[in-house]
Amino acid sequence: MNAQAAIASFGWVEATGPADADVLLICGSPGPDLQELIDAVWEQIPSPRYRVRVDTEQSLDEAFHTIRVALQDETLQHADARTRRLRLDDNRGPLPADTPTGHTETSDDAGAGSDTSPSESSSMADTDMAMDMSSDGDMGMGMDMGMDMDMSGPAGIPLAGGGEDRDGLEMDVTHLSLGPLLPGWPADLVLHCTLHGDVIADARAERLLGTGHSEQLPECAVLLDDAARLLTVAGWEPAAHELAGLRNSLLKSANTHATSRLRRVTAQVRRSRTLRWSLKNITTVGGTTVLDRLLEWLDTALAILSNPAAAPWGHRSGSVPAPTPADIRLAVLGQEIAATRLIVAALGTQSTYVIPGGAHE
Amino acid sequence: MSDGAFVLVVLVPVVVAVLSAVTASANGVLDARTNGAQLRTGFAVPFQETARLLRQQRRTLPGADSLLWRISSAGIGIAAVLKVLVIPLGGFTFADLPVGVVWFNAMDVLLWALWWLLGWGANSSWSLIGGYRFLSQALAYEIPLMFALTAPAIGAGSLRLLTVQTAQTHVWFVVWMPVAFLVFAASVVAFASWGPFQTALGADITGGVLLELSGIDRLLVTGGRYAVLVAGAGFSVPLFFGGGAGPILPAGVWVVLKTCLVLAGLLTVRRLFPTVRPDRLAEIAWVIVVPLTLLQLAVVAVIVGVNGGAL
Amino acid sequence: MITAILFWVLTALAVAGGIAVFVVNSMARATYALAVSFVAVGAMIVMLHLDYIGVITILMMLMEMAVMAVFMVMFMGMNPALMPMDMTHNKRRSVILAVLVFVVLAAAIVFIPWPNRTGSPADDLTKSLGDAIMGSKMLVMLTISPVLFATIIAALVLANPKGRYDRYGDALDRRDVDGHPDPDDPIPGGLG
Repeated sequence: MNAQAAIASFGWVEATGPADADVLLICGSPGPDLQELIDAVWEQIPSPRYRVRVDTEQSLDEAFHTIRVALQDETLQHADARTRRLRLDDNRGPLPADTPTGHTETSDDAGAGSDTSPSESSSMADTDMAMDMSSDGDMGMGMDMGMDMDMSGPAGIPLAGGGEDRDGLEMDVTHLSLGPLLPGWPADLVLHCTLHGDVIADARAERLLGTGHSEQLPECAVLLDDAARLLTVAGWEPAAHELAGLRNSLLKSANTHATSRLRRVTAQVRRSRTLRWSLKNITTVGGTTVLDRLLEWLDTALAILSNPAAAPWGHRSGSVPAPTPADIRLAVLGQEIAATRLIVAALGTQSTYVIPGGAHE
Repeated sequence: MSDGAFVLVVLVPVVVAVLSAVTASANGVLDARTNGAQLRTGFAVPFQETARLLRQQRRTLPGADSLLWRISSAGIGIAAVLKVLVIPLGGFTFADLPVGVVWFNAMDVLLWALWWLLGWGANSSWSLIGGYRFLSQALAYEIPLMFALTAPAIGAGSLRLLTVQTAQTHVWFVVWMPVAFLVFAASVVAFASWGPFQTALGADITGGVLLELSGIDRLLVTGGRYAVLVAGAGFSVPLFFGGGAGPILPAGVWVVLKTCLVLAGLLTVRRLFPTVRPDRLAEIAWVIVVPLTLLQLAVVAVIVGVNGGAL
Repeated sequence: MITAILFWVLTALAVAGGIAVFVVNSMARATYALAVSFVAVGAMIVMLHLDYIGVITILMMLMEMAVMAVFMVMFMGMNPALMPMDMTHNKRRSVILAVLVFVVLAAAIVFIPWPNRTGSPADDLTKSLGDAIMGSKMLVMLTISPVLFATIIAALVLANPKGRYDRYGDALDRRDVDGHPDPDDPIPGGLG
């Protein structure tokens, strides 16, 4: 999260996917599974690109300066671009991980795992960068074979198979793994989905181990961060930016205007009929609607901000116990894939999730 | 079209590009203000982004239909320019089509094809979902848009934009066709995949059709999106805001000024409203908005019938 | 001169697009090759100063192709749309049919004694076109269009053997014991 604040202070922005990214920033030391995914993401970032890993907050500044230098180093970037193969028929360099034969699925039941397109976070306007924080990166998505189909499509990507839809029609079935490197998605959660079109027919949630531990952060900043992410996924960028800006200012120092700014945003979110209407009937784990969860976060943050003494550190008022994989499965069944993103974003990437040891952000 | 107009046609893409850059800058400034960054950084965003993307590698995915993909990324800006061609600047117009209003509609449908191909060509699940999201949204907005376009045509008794413009000498159409204008503006937002109707490239599908684009292709699509906004806003001027009518300044300047005002409105819409999930749209559009536009048409038809012409 | 060249370029484009439909191996490309062909034809019609018909041709054909993409997903069983595939079926008979139609139409061009133009085109062709189509036949059109629309929907319902209609029959609005409507929409629309 400090990394995100640093990105903003440099005037850079976070990328939505690897195609948009210039820099891959890895925070902490990822476990082997995650490392594999991060490598896949790295392969997909178009040149000029730069990848850097930071362990501590202090090294952030230093890392950011090397980014600027590295991206402007023409010789280095040309050399990198020459040794890459961005096409299948191109014989230069190693096979990119996004080709069907690359990067095997992390799931064990998947047949011939073929990953297409992980995407990554964070690019910036100024010199260009993207970053991956082990917690809020992007997505790896794989397309595996339908069980009942054995046909190979173009470029060796398996085609969809047939299956019964919820209303009895035969539907295409594809298998797709969501996470963990997606914006607004917990870094240790992978969701292996069976898709009918864009509706999730079945899903299996898996936790990746060794994805890191949380930094010591003010409770309020964590809540604002979660809310900002949920609003981004819900598609209200300006409001999300406002919350992210508040979060950054909270990380830096106490801001006297923070309370009034947050009150204004909260009121705006609560008032928005469009948001209410758009998010209607989307329920996350535990039966709360996504919108209620969002408002709950904002209200809690507001309460802490206006009366810091009342909410001691580490205490989470109104937080739910960490959801089990079975809970998550039930919550996403029968949902459209984008609704799933909202449901998972409403879990919170940090606050409601107990993240096992390791380094994170 | 006269010979002079042929030469001037070359200017159209330039003007559209400049206006798009201005729009993008304005949006950057507004963003910078919410982020607490310097306004200057926000203003420079489109130019830095252009420089960055021009330097970036293009990419292809395995199994991608690169031909269709590249065509569609280039096509969005072209569709915008084709729309602008028929907009009159006062008494002068680049292409004086007798059916200018229908031409606009045809170019809008061209965007259906382009957005879908953009999603299709990448061969990525997220992009494909984005492409189909655009189509489902298009099915929702197209019928209301067609009726909304009919209103000024009925008011002026012609599909020719010059005639539509001169019919507003006394009262601008926006005054007695507010519903048609609102539907038109919403459709502009929708076919530019902007603001509340940006679901084709929404964050919940990780960028949708934009996800796999890099380098020059990404530049063409993001720039084309602004160009489409500009074209849509520009088109509303002869339809609803009396074209180049205005005191002192020449008509062409008035058209650009009014376009900028409408654009400002469209930028504000993005800040005020969150994205509307696509599965909610069709029902609203067909059950509520279509009857409303029909009612508007009835009102316009009665007024024209009683008055013997536009107000 | 320029007009003539443009016209011939468009004809070539239309024919090439038409051929491409059968040559390419992907459904998306075939669909849009057809669209290119139709758009070229539409542009030619505009060049003949039949602006309304020309532009409407472009509009309808582009829209139709996009809607076809929706149907492609709706009705194709497995997703062969992504597979490279042959775009021709029933080759022998279709070739015979195509050649026959071509010969008949081409012969018609040559052998029909085309009348000389007697009048001059109206000032506003769009208006006179509207009068010609709608003037005396407005009532007929008003009656026919709902019937046509109903026919399309009925055809869709009947053509879809495993649809909701087939499973629930006429009782699409029946209620379950718990009072909820059944069949239930898994994802309600904007008003529900």
